[in-house]
Amino acid sequence: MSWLGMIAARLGGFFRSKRSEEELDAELRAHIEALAQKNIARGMSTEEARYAARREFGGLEQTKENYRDQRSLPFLETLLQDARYGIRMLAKTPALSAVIVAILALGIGCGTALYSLIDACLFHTAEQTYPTVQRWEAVRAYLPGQKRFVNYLSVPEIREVKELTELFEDVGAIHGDSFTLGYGEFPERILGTHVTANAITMTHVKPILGRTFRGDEDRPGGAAVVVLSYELWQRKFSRDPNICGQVIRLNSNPYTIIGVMPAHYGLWGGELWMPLQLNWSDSNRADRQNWIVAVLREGVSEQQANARLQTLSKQLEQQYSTTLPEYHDWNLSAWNIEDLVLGGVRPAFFVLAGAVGLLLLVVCANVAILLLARATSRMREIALRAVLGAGRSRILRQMLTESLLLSFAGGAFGIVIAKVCLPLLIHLIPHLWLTTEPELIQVNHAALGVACGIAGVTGVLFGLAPALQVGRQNFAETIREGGMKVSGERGGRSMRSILVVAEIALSLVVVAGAALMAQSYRRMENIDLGFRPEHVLSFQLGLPDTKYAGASQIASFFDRTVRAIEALPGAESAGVASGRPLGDRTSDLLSRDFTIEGRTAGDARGPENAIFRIVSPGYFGSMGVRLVQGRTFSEQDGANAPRTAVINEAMARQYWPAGDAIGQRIRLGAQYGRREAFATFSPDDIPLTIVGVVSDVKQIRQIDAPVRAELYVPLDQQTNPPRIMSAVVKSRLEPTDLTAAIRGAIATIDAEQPIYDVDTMDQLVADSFGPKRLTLFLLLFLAAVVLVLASVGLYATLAYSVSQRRKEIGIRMAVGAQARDIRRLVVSQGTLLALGGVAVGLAGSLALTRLMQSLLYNLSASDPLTLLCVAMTLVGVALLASYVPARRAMSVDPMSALRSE
Amino acid sequence: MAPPRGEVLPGTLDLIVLKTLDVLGPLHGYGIAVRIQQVSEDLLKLNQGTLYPALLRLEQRGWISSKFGVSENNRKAKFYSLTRSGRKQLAAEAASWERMSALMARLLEGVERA
Repeated sequence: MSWLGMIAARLGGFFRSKRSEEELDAELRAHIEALAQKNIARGMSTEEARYAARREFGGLEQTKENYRDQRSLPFLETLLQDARYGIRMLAKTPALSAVIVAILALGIGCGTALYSLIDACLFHTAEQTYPTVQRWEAVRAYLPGQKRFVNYLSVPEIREVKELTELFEDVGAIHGDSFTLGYGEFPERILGTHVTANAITMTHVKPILGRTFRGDEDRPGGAAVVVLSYELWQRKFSRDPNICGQVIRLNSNPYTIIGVMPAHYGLWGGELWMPLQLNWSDSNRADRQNWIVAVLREGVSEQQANARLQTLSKQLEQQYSTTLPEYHDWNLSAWNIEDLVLGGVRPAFFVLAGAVGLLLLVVCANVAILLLARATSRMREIALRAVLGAGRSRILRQMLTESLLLSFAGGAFGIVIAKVCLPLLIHLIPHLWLTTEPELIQVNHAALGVACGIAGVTGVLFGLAPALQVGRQNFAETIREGGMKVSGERGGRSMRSILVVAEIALSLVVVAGAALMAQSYRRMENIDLGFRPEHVLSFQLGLPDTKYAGASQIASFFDRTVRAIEALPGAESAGVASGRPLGDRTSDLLSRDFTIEGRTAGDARGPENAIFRIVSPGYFGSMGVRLVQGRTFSEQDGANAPRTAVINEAMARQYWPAGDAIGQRIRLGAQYGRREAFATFSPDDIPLTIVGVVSDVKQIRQIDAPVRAELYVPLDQQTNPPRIMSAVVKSRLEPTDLTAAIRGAIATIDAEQPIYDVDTMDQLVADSFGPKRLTLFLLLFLAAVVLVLASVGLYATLAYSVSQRRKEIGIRMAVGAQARDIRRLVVSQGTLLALGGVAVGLAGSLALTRLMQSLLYNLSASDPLTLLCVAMTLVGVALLASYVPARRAMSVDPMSALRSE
Repeated sequence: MAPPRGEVLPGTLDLIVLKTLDVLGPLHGYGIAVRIQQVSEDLLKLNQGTLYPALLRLEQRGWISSKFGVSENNRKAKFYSLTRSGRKQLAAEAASWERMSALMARLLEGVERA
């Protein structure tokens, strides 16, 4: 039988002990009885026989004791005994024990919940599913003239990157698109991605059903086939296992489903994939319609890849920059997919992870302080037990058991708090800013383990510290002095002071971080948006090219839509635009090169470029864009009227600083940005006359980004109007109340036309604060927790010190000290600790908050005013925490304090 | 003078108990004690109480099993009997004991001759 079986048997014995105790007793008694009977048979008297039998048998109690030791685990029995005693001791100071458990639970729970969130979003978005994700790259170009990256590139450029086989395992092309899926009750708009066949195979992820694309399908004229995402398959097709071969209609065209990808394969965006039927022999370099995606070879670093790509950029520049000015100084570079997904939120998450770490440290310091105070006050009891014969190891074990009990309770509640907190946090965060699906965010068990471990180790260390001193003590002395002066006390006090100072310092760092964030946020809220978001509803419309083939059909649909909406009761005005403010990322913004009549075309940096927006006349009024000069568009800017344009103030300042922009003429050149907005691309050469200047409207989703030059042109004058437009409706009611009516109005024009991305502009503004608001929210939460903890720590220290100094205070009062002298005594001790902590904390803040500079808008990370306020807050909290113990010290009755000794 | 009563050699009590149960079949604690005394002709100094932790240990190892029965004088008593693995263990231990005692005998023989 193995030792394991032995332990099992012993454990069994441990739990069955009561019954088998009776059995043992009976068995042994029977044995002795039998011995006695034998002795009587030999002629002894009953008395003698009993006595002899006992002697023969040996010690009865000793036998039982040996038997019990053999039967169960004596260690476990003492442990239980320790635990029972420990619980009794902890229950003697219920408030203190509860506070320690609460602090541990709060620290472990909140820390773990926050960290799980950060971890799910920052570190594990994709690795679990895709082993090679670190090497997935997009290749993009930086155009210094426009100060921006361009993600869409042309076929010849894709070919040239594809030839760099020493860098990349494989290179493919993709572009995003959206489709109206006519399946089920109502038409739905689905985001999808056109991919070359290798764009999926190079990720080495296999479909769970069917197959992905073959080489013959991504050529012009290839089959109309589609691969579904797991999510779409589940949502629209109820996970039909026989889905492959079924035909669905996308934008009214039939497509055959050939495969389903595994869950969470959201690669390159979208819910379905179809072959990108690329004509590889296309030689038009200006026709930039696709992203380049690639997988780096193993062992090739991004730096190496970028160096090689730079060489390629230079070659292309020399060859083509005379005809293609955008090649001037341009630079191709690889962009890791994780950076692409996480770039914006990464610094925020790092700051938060750091703050969680600080929170845990504060928790540890706090628990240590409380345990030290608790243990020192028990010196007398420990000494008494030692004198009565308890071994040092036995006392250590007792203290250890108590600490572990506290840690265990803290951990258990911590797990509960983590489980409750995490869904709440996820609920509070706009999903736009979660870089992973909410259901993938689980309580991170590793983090929970680490948090519990750190808290447990702290508990054990500081629970044991006083017990370790026991060996070095003069117990008789300790007991005689009533446990008031123990030899470890001086050390204990300085240890506690150091911990309190450290704790206040750490708290100050966290509070300073939160305060800086809050200050920066306040400044951002006062940013001039350039439009009035109140009571404005916006949504998107995407017209399939099958139904809306020509410019006139597109323009007439949007025109009828605007009229239908404006006719609704409650709607004040409406308009459409090729993109809404704050709605885009930089790379998705449409922009156009242009030249100014009467000036030389561009300069050394390349052509002039401005953000480009196609709008209907009602757009400016509905969006509340301010007119600065001239006029905006009206009915008179029709298809046959002279071409006109409106510019923003930034553009007017940049090109016509004298304020004479009105009446100037410009010509448009190449266009960049979102691909799917235009049916085809063809530059036209008719000059536009600037008729108005409007306020600078925030363009991209990041609210603190500066506004670039922007150019508006009227929808009616476009030969190639976009099929995807954003509609904006100024409402007299609560804007969302109009949604149903708007859907109805559009259904009367085209019943198959879905509307999507329905948001109030207020919501878009709020979302554009997204990661910053999230960071602020979480940091404020952390700061509040930390502040409470710090004040609890300081309070505990002072309260303990007052209780230890009762006698001294009594004497002072007896010899004439006034109540306020006593108060000063306590408060000054607290203030001293607080000032020490604040000094250390300020130094720490200056060092640490610099790391969050990138999160701050228009604010220095060492902003003196903010830091001063934070320092004063902490001192204030410290004074408050000192006040209660001071009150208690003042109420000491000198007579009873002296008599009790 | 009576020969000195020997202590039970460490580790041998298990073997003695197993052998006793092997020879006599199921037996209660008292019976085992009486048998040991008989066989050793009172040469072995055995505190009968030490038998019980040993019985428990053997039972925990799975070498013997116990169940309640009725003793000769009509009392409820716990009867111990050898299990299959106990029999194997007995064989192994007896063999090893024989080897050891043969070795000791040869060694001591040499000592006497010298």
